[in-house]
Amino acid sequence: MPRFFRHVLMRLRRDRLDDELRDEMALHVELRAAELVERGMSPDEARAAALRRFGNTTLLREESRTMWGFGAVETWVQDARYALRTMGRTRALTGVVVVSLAIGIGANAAIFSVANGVVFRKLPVPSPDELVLLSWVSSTKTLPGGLWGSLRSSDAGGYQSTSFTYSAYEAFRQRTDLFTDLVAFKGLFGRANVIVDGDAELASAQVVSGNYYRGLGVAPALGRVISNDDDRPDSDAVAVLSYGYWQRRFGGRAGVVGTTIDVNGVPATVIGVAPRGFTGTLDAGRAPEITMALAQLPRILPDAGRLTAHNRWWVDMLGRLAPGVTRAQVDSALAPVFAGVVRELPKGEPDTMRLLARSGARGLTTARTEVADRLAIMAMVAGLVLLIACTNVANLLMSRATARRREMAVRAAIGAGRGRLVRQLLTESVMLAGLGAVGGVALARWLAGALLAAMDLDQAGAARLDWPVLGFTVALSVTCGLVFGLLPALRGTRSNVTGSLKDGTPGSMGGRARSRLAAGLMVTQMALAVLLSVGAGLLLRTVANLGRVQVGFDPANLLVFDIDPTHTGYEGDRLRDLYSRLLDHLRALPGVLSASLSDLGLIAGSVSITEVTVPGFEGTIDLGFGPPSRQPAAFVQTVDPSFFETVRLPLRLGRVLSPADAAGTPLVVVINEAMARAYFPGRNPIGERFKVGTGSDAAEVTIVGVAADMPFDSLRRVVPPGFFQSYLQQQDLSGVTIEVRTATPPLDLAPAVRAAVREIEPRLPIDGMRTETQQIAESCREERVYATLATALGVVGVLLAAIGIYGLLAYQVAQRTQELGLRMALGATRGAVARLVLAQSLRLAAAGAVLGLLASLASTRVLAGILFGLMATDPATIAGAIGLLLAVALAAGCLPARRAARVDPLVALRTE
Amino acid sequence: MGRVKRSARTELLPGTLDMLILKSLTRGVMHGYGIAQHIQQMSDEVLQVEEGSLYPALQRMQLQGWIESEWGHSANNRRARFYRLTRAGRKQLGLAESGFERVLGAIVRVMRPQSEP
Repeated sequence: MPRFFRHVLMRLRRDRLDDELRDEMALHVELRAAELVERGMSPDEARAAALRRFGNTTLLREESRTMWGFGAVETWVQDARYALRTMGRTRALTGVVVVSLAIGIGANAAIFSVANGVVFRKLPVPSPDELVLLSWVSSTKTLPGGLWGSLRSSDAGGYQSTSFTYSAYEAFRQRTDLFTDLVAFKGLFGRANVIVDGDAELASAQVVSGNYYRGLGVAPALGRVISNDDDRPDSDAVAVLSYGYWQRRFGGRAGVVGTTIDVNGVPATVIGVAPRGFTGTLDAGRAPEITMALAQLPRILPDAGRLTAHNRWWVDMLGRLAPGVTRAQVDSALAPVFAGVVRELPKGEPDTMRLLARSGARGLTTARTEVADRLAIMAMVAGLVLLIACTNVANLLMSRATARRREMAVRAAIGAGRGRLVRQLLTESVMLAGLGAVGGVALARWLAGALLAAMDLDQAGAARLDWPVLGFTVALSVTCGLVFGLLPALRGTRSNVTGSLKDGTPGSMGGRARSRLAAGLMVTQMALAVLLSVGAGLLLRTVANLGRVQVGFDPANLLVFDIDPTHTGYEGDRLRDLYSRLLDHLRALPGVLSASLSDLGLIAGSVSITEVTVPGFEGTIDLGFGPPSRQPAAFVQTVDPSFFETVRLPLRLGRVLSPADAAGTPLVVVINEAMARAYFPGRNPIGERFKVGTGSDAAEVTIVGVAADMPFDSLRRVVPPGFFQSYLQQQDLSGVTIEVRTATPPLDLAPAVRAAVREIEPRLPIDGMRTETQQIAESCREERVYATLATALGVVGVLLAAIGIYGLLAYQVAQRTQELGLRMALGATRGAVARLVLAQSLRLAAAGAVLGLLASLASTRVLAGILFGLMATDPATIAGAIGLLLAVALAAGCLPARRAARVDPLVALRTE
Repeated sequence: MGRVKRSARTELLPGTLDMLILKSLTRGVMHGYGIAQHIQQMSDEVLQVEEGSLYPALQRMQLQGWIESEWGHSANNRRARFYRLTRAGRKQLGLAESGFERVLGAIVRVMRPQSEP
C-alpha cells in the first residue's frame, strides 16, 4: 500500500489510533510496574519508577500524532483552532484589535485599489508596452493660441501637453518605419446629446482615427469597429458603443447593431460594441460611451473651429512601435518633422516646443499624474494609521503575553518546544490580522468608491477588488500579523518554566525591559495620534471655514439644472427664443416664484474671464486665477435680466438689467462691488463706460448698477472684480444653467420642471438637476471627503492611543502591586499613589505630544493646497490636538490610577 | 535511584533503535513491552531503550510499511497490540545490518588499530 494512502487511512482513524496508543502505553507502564513489584518495590514506588522510565507520555503521543497527520498542515489547523478559542475568551480585546486593523488595512487597500485601477493599470490591449504616447515639452511660458486639450507645467519651466495639430499627425503618420500604426483620438469633454428612440440623454464621447481599433488590437464584442473606410469626410456617420453604455442604455440587445441614433443632430448608424473592460485611451476615469470617426468631428461639434488649422492643437496620438524601434529613436527621428510643424506656426506662437515620446501603456496620463500625487499623500496617512494599529496590537498582545506567561510555562513544561509556542502565538496574530483584512476589504470597497467620487473620477473600470488588490491586502495583513506578533511571541515564550509556575512574579521576563519597549511604542503611538489629529483638525476647520463663506445670494429654495440646446440644433434667434419661452413656461408653474438663466453655474467651478479697458485705469488687477494677464481683466457672467431677483443678489447702486436692454439697444452691465473698488475707486461708477475685449472686437458698455459681491466659481477665491451682462444683448450661449426660485422644497418641483422642459422641446436633455445648496456642498466635496476620512482616521488613532496607554498602565499597576502596597504601608496616601500612576501616563503623553508637534510642523505642509482660511501650522489646531491627547491620556490613566489607590497594603505585602 | 541507574546506561547510537526493533521482531510476534524487554535482556541490560520513544518509532515504522500490527491478548490475558515484521521490514533490516556492520567495523579499526594483523 503506498505511503500516501497509509497516511490518509491513519488520518481518518486518528481518534481511534490515539486511544489505542494510550492503551498501549498504559499497558507498558503497568507491566513494567508489575515487574518492579516482583523485584521487591512497593506498588506506589514501582508505578512512579515505571512512569519515569517511560518518559513524557503527552509529548510522545503528540509526536505520533504528528506522524499520522500531514505534519505542518495538521499543527496549523490545531493552532488555528486554539487561536479561535483564545479569541473567543477575550472578545473585547479581539474586537479592538480586529476593528483597528480593519480600518488600517481597509484604508490602505482602498488607496491601493484606486491607484491600481487609475494609476498603475495598463491598457487592456495586446502588448501595451509597445505603445508610445507622443507629447511635447516647451521651455517658455508661452501658450499656443489654439490649444484645445491638456496642459501641465513642465520641469523645464514651460508647458507640456499631448495635444498636437492635425498637420503634425499627418506628418508623423507617414513614418511607417517607426510605427506599425499611429492612431489619433480626441475626447469630447463637452459631452454629446444622444437621442435614442426620441429619448434625449447626454453621453460622453470621443472621435478616433480609422486605424484606432486595428492599431491598438481591440476586437469588437459585437458587430464591427471603426475602420479607415469610416474615417473619410464623405463617409456615413457610424458609432461604436462602449460595453457599459450598451448594457445600460440598450439593455445589452444584440439588435442594436444597424439601428440609427442621433448624436448632436447627426444621424449615426451603430456598427458595434467595444469589448468589456476596454474603456478607451483617454485619461483617468474618462471612459467614452460613444466612439465616432475623427472625420465626423466637424459635423458633431460645428463650433470646434477649423481643426486642420496649423495653430490648432487638439489631437492626441498613440503609436505602436515597429519591431526593434525604441522611444529614443522615435524622439530623434520625429524631431526634424516636428520642427517643420513648429516652423509653420504663425508669429507669436511658442517656438521652444520639443517632441517627447512617452510610454503609452496607460493611455493619456495627465490626470493620472495628479491623482498619483494625491494618492501618495493619502497613502502616507493611511500608512500612519496602520502603523499605529500595529504598534497598538503589539502592545496589547505583549500585555496578554504577560498574562499568559503561566499558560506558556505549563505548555513548555509538558513538552512544547519554544518554536512551537512562537508558532502558536504567530498563528494567533496572523489570524487576527486575517480577520482585520476581511473587515478591511469590506471597508475598502466603500472607501474606494468615496475616494473616486471625491477625486471626480468615473467609477467605471477603476478600483475593482481584483487579484492585485486582494493580493496586496493579504500580503499587507500577513506582514502586519508577523510584525506585530513576532516581538510579543518571542518575549512571551522566553520564560523560565519553574519560576513562572511557582508564582505569578515576572520570572526572567524582564519587567523593566518590557516596560521600556512598551513605553517607546506608546510614545510613538501618541506622536502619530497627535499628527493625525492635527491633520483632521486642519481639514475640519477648512470645511467649517468654507461653510462660513458669505455667498452674497440666497441659495436656499433654488433649483438648478443645465441644458445645451445648441447640440439639438438651436442657434441665433431661435436659441434666444427657446430660452425665453422656456423661462416663461417655468415661471408659470405653480410653486415657482421666478426663473432665470446664466451661462455659468453658480459656484460650479467654471469661470469666464474677459479683458477690459477702463478709461483712466492703469496697471493690472490680480484675479487670483491663472497666470497674471498683461491686460486688466474681470470675471463675467451672462444672465437673464431676472437673475438678480431669482438668486436674490442684493443691488447696491443703480438698477438691475431689464428686458428692455435687448439686442440693438446700448450695451449695459451691472458690476460687482469688487469691480467698483478695483477699477472705479472713490467714485460712483453708475453711468461710467468701459470696453469689453481687446482690439477691434472690443465693445463699449455702460454701467447701470452695482450688485453685492458673490463668488463666481468657488468659495475659495476672494470675490474678484466681475460684471453681469444680459444674454439678450450677447452672441449665442451654448449651454446654460437654469435657476428656478421655488416657494416649497426645490426637489419637489423637479418632476414638474422636467415635464415643462419636455413640453417646450422634447429632444432637449436635462443635466444635473440639483438644488443650489447641493451645488455649493458639491463644490467642497473634495475637502469634505478628505476631512471625513482624516477625522475617521484621527478618531481611530486617538482611540487606539487611549487603549494603548490604558493597557500599559494597567499592566504596570499589576506589576507594581507590591511596591505600591509597600509605599502605602510606609505612609503614602491613596491620592499620592493615584497621582503616581497619572503622572506616568502624562509623562508618556507629553513625550508623544512633543514628538507629534515636531512631526506636524514638518509634515502638514503637504495639506497646504487644500486648506482654506488657515495655515498648515495653525497654532490653535495644533494646541487643540495636543490638549485632546493629554486629556485622553489622563482619562485613560484614571482607571489604573483608581486600581492603584485601592491596593490593600496588607494583601499586597502578604503575597511577597 | 533512577539517576544512578541512568548513568550506567549506554545511549543508543542514533538510528539504531529501528534496527533493534526489527531484529527483535525476527523472533516472532511481540508487543511493545516485549520488544523493550527483549532488547534489554539480550544486551545484558546494557542497552536500555528509553521506553516511551519506542512507541513513536513503532508508529513510524508502520507508516514505512516495515511492520504490521494487530490487537490480541497477552500471556496474562490483557488486550495488547502485537507487531509483526513484513517483507519490506526484512529487507530494511538487511540493509540496516550491513550498514551497521560497516560502521561498526570502521569504529573498531579506529579504536583499536594495534589489533590489526
